[in-house]
This record gives sequence, C-alpha cells and structure tokens, in this order.
Amino acid sequence: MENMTPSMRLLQTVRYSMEGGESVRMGLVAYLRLEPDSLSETVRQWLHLFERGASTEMFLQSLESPARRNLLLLLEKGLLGEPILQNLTLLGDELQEQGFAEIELFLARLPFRMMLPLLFLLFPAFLLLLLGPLLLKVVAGLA
Amino acid sequence: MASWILLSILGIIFGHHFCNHAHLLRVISEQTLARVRFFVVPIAICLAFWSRENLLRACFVVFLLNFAPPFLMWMNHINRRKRFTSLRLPFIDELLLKMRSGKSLRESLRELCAQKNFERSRDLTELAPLLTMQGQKNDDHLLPEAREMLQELLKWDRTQVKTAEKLKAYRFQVRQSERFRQKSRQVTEQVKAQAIVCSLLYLAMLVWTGFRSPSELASGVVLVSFGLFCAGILAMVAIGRSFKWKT
Repeated sequence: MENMTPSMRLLQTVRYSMEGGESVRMGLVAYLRLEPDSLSETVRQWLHLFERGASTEMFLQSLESPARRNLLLLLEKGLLGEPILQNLTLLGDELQEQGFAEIELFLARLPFRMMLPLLFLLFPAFLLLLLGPLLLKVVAGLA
Repeated sequence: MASWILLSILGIIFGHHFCNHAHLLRVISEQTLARVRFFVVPIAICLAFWSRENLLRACFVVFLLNFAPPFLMWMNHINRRKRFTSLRLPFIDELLLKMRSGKSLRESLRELCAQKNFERSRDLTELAPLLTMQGQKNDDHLLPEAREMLQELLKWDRTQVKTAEKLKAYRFQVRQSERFRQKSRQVTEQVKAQAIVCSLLYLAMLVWTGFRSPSELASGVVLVSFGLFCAGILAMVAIGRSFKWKT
C-alpha cells in the first residue's frame, strides 16, 4: 500500500516545484519521474494530449475519481498560465480529508473481513491441532 | 581432543569469514569488526568444545552463521529507516530555526550534524560532509529518502535563492507524507497484530503437541492443520494489502 493517495502525491510534487520557483510543467515532469503509481499513466496520457493541443475534456470526463478529475482540471489551468497555487493549497486540504476518510472506511470494514480467514482457515487449523490426534486415537481404538 | 582442535581451527576460519562478510554488507563498522575479531578465537574454541561430540551441532552453527549477515543487514536497514523517519522532521525543524537566525545552509547543517540528538541516525549526520563535497563523495550507502533529501540540499546550495522558503516547503511535504504514513499504518498494524497473536498461539500449541507425543507432529492431521494455518495467515496479509486508493 502506498502511503499517500496518488492525487495527493501529484499535488504535493507540483506544489513543491511551484514553491521552489519552477513551473507547473516542471512539477508534472518531476511527478512522472517518481516511482509510478495508479495515476502516473493517466497523467502521462493527459499531458501528452494537452501538449499536442488536443481537447482533454473527454479524457478528463472518462476519469472515475472526481478528485483526480478536478485536480487535473486545475493543473490544466496552471499549464495555461493561470495562477493556481492558492487553489492547489485548498484542494490539498480537501484531498487529505478524502484520503483519511478512505482509510477510515477500510478500517471500519477490516474486522469483518479479517474474521473470514479466522473462521474458515485458522479456527479449523487450531481445532485439528487440538482434537485431531485425539480423534485419530479414538477411531483407531474403535477399529 | 583432535576433533576439538580441528573444529576450533575450522571455527576460527569460518568466524573470520563471517565477520568479513558482515562488514562487506555494512552490517558492522570497521571498529566493530576489529573488536569482534578479537572474540572470534575464544568463541570458536568454546563452540568447538560444545559440538565436538555431535557434528550436527557444528553444522547447525555454520548454517545459522551463514544466514546471519543478510538477516542482520535487513534488520539494520529497517532500524536505520525507523531512526531516519523519526528524526527527519525534528532535524528539518531545527535546520530551519538555525537558518532563520541568520546562518547559511551549510553552516546550519554542519552545526546540526555535530549535535548529539541526531547522531543516532548516520544518514542524517552524513548529510553535512556530503553537501560540502558537492556530491563528489559516494552517497550509495544512504537510504533512498536521505539521498533524496541530499539532492534537494545540493540543489538549494547551488542556487542559494530563498533557501529557507524552499526548506519550509520541503518540510510541509515531508510532514504531509508522514501524516498519511501514520494513518495508513493503522491498517497494517491491525493485520500484523492479529497475525502475530495467531502465530504465537499456534506455535505454543504445536510445541505442546510435540511435547505430548513427538510422533504426532509428523501425522497427516497436523500437516493439514499447518497448511490451513499458513493459508489463513496468507489470506490475512492479502486482505491487509488489498487496500487501494480511489482518490
């Protein structure tokens, strides 16, 4: 499991580059140089489309995650020369909230999901280890 | 007596080989290597005395020692990473404070690396000499996170523009990733705790079964039980790892 949500990672990288005096594009390139995550390929395709001058609207609409879609929309504005640092900061807070909520949801479901291997694999394993040899002796005795 | 002497000689040779291997893998420093070498002879003689009548014991010790350096290296790596991540933020905080008080990046870093509270992490204390050498010195031995930090420091040192602001932005990024790491660790910690408790319980029961009647350990029922147990632990780990970010 990656430690940070991919969209948060992208936002952080671009924001860090911008705060260091670099452009949005440099930030995107820095993100693409990082270890790939589930968003890297999408960003690569989107940037390719943008640099070719094609419309990215359809591509962005095909994205399932609204967080990713809105982030790329904002970055596109940045690529076009609009100031986006303040909005990026606000979006960062929002993405952090969403990321934490995602983990909370997974954690809430985890006890139930963990019960399945406990019930169907580990519990029989313990029972077999405890009672198996005894049962075998009983069966052998009866035979 | 003859077997004791022979085993002692073999033990000393193997002991030296083990020490050199551990040193090559950076598990022990040169200073520790010199110290450990001093103890190799008495330890080898004692171990040879213990195993002179049963060669299986000697083979067991050799087998164990053969896997010790890579295992120690792995443990060392984990500990190093833990120390680095726990000290990184206080280190950046203090570096920023020093720079805010009017000192240059190099001066602040040099002072900070000489401080006692950061000497637990060698990856942090080596940043100052590496920065002074401007990347001419080899930084392969550093952790990837430390190497990344060094790259940033080198970049700031070259440009010398708004260094404190850049450091502040870097701190924000590190703090953010630390927050996420702590949050996502809750998932892995829960799975790990459950797996460890189940494993310890199963191990205790296995030992109890072995003590009660050793012949039962090799029976089909115990083997099936062991298979089920392994599958259960693997399933637990798989569930813990199944988390995927949607945002």
